[in-house]
Amino acid sequence: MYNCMMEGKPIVTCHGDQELFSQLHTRVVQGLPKEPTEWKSRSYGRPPRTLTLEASFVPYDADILTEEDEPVLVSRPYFHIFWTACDLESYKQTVKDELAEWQAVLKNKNIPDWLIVVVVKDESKVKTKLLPRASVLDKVKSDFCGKNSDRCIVLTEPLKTEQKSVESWNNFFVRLRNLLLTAYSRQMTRFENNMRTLREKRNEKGWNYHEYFIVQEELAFMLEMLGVWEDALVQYDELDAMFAQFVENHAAGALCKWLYPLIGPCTNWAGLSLAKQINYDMRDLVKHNKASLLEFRDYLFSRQCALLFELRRPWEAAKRALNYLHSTIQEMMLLEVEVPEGALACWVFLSCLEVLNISEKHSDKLQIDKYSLYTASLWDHARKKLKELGNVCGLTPGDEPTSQQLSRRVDLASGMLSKEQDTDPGKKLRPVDRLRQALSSNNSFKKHYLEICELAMGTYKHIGRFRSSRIIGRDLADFYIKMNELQKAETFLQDTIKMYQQEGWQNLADGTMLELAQCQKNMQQPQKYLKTACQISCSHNLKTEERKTYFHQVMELLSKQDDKAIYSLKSSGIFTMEEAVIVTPSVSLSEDFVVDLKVTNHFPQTITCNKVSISVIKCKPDQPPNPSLFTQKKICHIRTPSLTNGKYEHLANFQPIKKQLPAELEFVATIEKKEDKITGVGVTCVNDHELLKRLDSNPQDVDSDETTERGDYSMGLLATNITLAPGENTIQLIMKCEEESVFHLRQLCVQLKQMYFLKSLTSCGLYFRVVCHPPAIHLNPVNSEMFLMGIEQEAVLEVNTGSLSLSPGDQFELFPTSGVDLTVIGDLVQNVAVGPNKLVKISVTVFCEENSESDQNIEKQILCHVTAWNKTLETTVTFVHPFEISHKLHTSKERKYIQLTVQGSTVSEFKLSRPELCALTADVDVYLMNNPTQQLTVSNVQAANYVWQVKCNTAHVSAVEMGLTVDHTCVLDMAGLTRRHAYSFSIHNFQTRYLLTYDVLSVEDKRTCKVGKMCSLEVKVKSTELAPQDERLVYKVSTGQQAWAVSGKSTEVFKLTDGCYKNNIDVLPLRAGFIHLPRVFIYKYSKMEANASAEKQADEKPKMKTDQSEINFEEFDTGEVYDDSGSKQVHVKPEQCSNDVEISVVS
Amino acid sequence: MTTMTSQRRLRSLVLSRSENDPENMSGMYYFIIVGHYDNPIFEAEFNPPNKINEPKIDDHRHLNQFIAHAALDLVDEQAWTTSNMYLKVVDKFNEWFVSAFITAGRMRFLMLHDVKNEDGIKNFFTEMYDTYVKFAMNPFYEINTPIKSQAFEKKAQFFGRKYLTG
Repeated sequence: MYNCMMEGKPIVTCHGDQELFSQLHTRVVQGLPKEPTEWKSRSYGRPPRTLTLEASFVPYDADILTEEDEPVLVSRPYFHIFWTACDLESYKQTVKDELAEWQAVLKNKNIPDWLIVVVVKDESKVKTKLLPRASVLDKVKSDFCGKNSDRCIVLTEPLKTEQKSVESWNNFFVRLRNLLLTAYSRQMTRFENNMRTLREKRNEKGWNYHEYFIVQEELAFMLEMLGVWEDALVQYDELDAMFAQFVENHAAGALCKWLYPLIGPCTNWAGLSLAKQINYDMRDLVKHNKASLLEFRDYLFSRQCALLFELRRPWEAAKRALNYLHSTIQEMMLLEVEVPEGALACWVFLSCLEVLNISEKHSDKLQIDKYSLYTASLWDHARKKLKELGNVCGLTPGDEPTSQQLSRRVDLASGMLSKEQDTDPGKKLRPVDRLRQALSSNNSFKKHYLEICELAMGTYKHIGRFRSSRIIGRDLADFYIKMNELQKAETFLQDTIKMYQQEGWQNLADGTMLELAQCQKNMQQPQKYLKTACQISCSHNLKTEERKTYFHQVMELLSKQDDKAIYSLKSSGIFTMEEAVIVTPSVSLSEDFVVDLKVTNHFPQTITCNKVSISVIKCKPDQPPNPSLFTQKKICHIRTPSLTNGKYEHLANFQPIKKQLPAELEFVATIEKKEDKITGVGVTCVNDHELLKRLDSNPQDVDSDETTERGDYSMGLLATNITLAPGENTIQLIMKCEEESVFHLRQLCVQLKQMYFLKSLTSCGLYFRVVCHPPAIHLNPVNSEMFLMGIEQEAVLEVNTGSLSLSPGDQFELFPTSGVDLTVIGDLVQNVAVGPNKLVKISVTVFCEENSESDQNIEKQILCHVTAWNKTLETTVTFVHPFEISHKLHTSKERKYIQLTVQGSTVSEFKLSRPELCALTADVDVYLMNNPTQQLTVSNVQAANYVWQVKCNTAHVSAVEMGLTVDHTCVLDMAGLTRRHAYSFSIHNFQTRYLLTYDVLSVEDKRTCKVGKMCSLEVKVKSTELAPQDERLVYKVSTGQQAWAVSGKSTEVFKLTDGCYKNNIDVLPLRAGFIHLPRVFIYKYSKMEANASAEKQADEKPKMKTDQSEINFEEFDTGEVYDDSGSKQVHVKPEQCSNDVEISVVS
Repeated sequence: MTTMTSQRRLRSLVLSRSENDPENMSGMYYFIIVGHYDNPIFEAEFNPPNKINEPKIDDHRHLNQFIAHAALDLVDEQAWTTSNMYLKVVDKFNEWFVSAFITAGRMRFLMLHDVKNEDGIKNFFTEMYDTYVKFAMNPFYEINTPIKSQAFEKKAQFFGRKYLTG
């Protein structure tokens, strides 16, 4: 019977012409599954399925027929076919009887599923056509089929390949398939009805799960046989659920008798075996209720897996496996099955590996991802169980097994013996062998355990469960610690910590750090241990006692260590710099530069730091920082941005496992051009590689900012012996500025014994500038705004020390300057110390001689040497003339006067007295017109004037040199002296030669002038005795302001006759009122060309060149011509209002 | 040295994940919100009224966090399999179940619990989601930073009593 089932095909019996059938057998067996059939009319409303039907054809035998109500499905012959190819003759003789007998047997057994096949040969076909009602088919139909005419079918020429015979085969198969399905449905419906009835009785006494199991499994077998694996699986799942429910109820008190055999003491834990489709030995045990719980579960799960593999869903087997293992263990616990320690772990381990082996076999590459999703946790589970076994059997590294543990190993190994020993040699290590090896010795255990860990971690990583992978790593670290392979353990622990820190689970990270500390302590690597221990003692997530313990350990370790050993650590997490304040970012040379730091000490106790220092470097001159940095107080708050909380700062001393994503996308516009036409425009993300890169496989990327390299502290700020209480502290760091430059604050270093805690400050942008102001001197007058020549003035010599300073005893030395007397009042030796940017004032008096040759101001260099600085300082002083003197000659007819004007140049007043003018020839005498005793005051707003009359003693005086001296005193003059100021000048040709008078008279009545009426300008020139004879002169009438119009020549050359000349010129007044006469000037006439006529030059200005001639109007010197009428006015009356039309003629 | 023992205990727990011990059902809940950087931003524990006065064991928080963190892998994986925000039980760890809820903004709400209470947890998650959304609208709160708000905690405790322990 089982053989049929193993073949996996429903049974169909064949009766009748056996010879005929054996000819057709191959065609029938092959033809049946060729086309799929839809199975519609299914029991319990199951969805229709498309099946490929197959059958195994066996010869008919009345003995193998089953009763209709027998509860079997698989081994039941479902269908019965009678084959015949007889002619009418033999039909009547034998076949009809055979058929009748066959029918009778079937009817007797209540079997309605049969078919009679009449095979028709060629010649008989012709016959049937002639006599249709007399064919074998008709006979059969009428004899046996009655109403069911579909129970008989004709197969025409089955051995030929003609169209006709193919068609008849098709008809045959369609009919056969339908009838087969009808038969299956009928049988299964009935079977299932019975099964359900049985199930309903499950709460009745005496009901047995195992009986029911076999029944439902029969249905499952049947479905499996038909290839409906999905439905078959459902049957097993139902059985599974039902069993689980019973177990739960049993545990809850609803006891099931049939469960007792299952929960006897467990003696075998050979694990799941998936090698066979159906394990019949096991099935027999289940059937007879002799299986243990584990065996039963194994059998059930192996069947589920078998169906899953048929369904090509091997990953689901892996997926179900974990649940199956868990729930089975739970059932074992619920049912309180007695089991030796470690046995269940063995069972789970073996089962895990079996599932993994088998599903690997069934999986193809394409499904590897889907499959890894579930195998990962299976590997992990196997790993855990192996570890458990290691603990139970004393196989963990470092453990010495007790005798109890040794005998336990033997016991466990014996329980792993599988009942079937069919090994396929040459294949992979079987799970049992593997476990046996693992349990054989410590070394072997280690090897296998590490291998499985590796596999589990690898698979987890493959599916992206990095956390799970790291948790195994953490567990593995523990194992390595026991193996004393601390290096490896450290790596795993650090990975775990990194993960926790990166994801912000500080609590977990710090917890793991305790393990890391222990590990590193055993490694005898003080640097690493100190790092971790410091982190621990500064962790706010851990308990204070614990933190203090580690703190003391750190201190103890440091005191034991060699002083030369130096440990550089990152400060973050231990000391947090909260704030750095630069009050004055710009300091002078030799001043102190100060930074106020706010530092939070995270240690649980007060510490005294040997040093707190900040390194500085000089900025390159070509990269000057923003000058605004130096203008005001700078406060740098170092607060972790809250968004990135726990992302950057907290990764102290651990390299990040993944690089942070860049905070912004960098885009670049790209424009493609072709012949100046834009062909494409796009936006490109420049840093896409950073964004899209895998984050977890790049642990090497370390921010350079996070190095623990100690910077160069040869130059820097410093504070020593600083006590830092837990929490916030303020420290003032000082640096002496000895070099002029711009500095950048680089790194903070807190030194605690041999430990350096470093924090980079480069990103804070803290700069300061050391500037050197050069010293300078200035000479400033006192009480006056400027220095004046000629008087001794009080002044102050100011020495600005700049960035330098002076100490007592330092000397100033003044260099003499020509023309300047600089007298120091007091001492040139410094008495007191003077700091930078201070003024030292030295009182001096300054005297500069007057420079009578020039009116210009004088600039003088003043030099001062400071011995202490070895510098000669220089300043320029401008000396100004105290006043300006000018002279002017005045004439009245033939008398002459000299006016001298003294104009002061400062606000300060000068008192003038005793003016004296002397001519250097005896030809002239001068007479002062002022009051000689009068004292005059001059300043820049007040001038003084002196007038002298000049009298000539001889007729001709061509030139006179004169000198003015005047006494002056000034309040500014320190000497208080009356000083004498000299002024010399000369006058030439000052004597009067011609007297010029002119007047305007009306032509009509010689009296009044009227606008528009011609008048006459009468010009008279008289010579004095000083005038040369026959000198040719030129007069020129100038009509200013359009008051006059000259009618006729305005310029004329003339000569005096008898010392006199007179001429009348017609002029026309143009305006009414008192108006000045037209001005008349006379010049000396010097003719270059004789024939030139001066008349043509009437309207020309003097000294103008013309085409024909060049006439020189040579002017007289001041005082040679006395113009008597220069300021005379005449009254011009307006035109009278008359009825006459007034006509003005303007020529 | 208590934490060292808690470490050891934790390690032994790592060994045997998810074989439930039915004797130890106590009705404890631990709620945690996990931000976009996988960082915890809010934690709360809910104890049944009868156990509220029991002395708190210090390593609870550590263990709870450990389980919650380990479950993140599974939460992330299962988030893809469904469009529901409530993922139900995603992981088991010894006596603990881990239920998860993923908000539309991809914040992960995790609940550790030792008794099954699907509807209660769902309601709790929904209410906390509502509360969280309101809280996140506060302009002074930056997303993904730890929530330090008494009002938020009170709300959480209130819903915890209402749906979980009450």
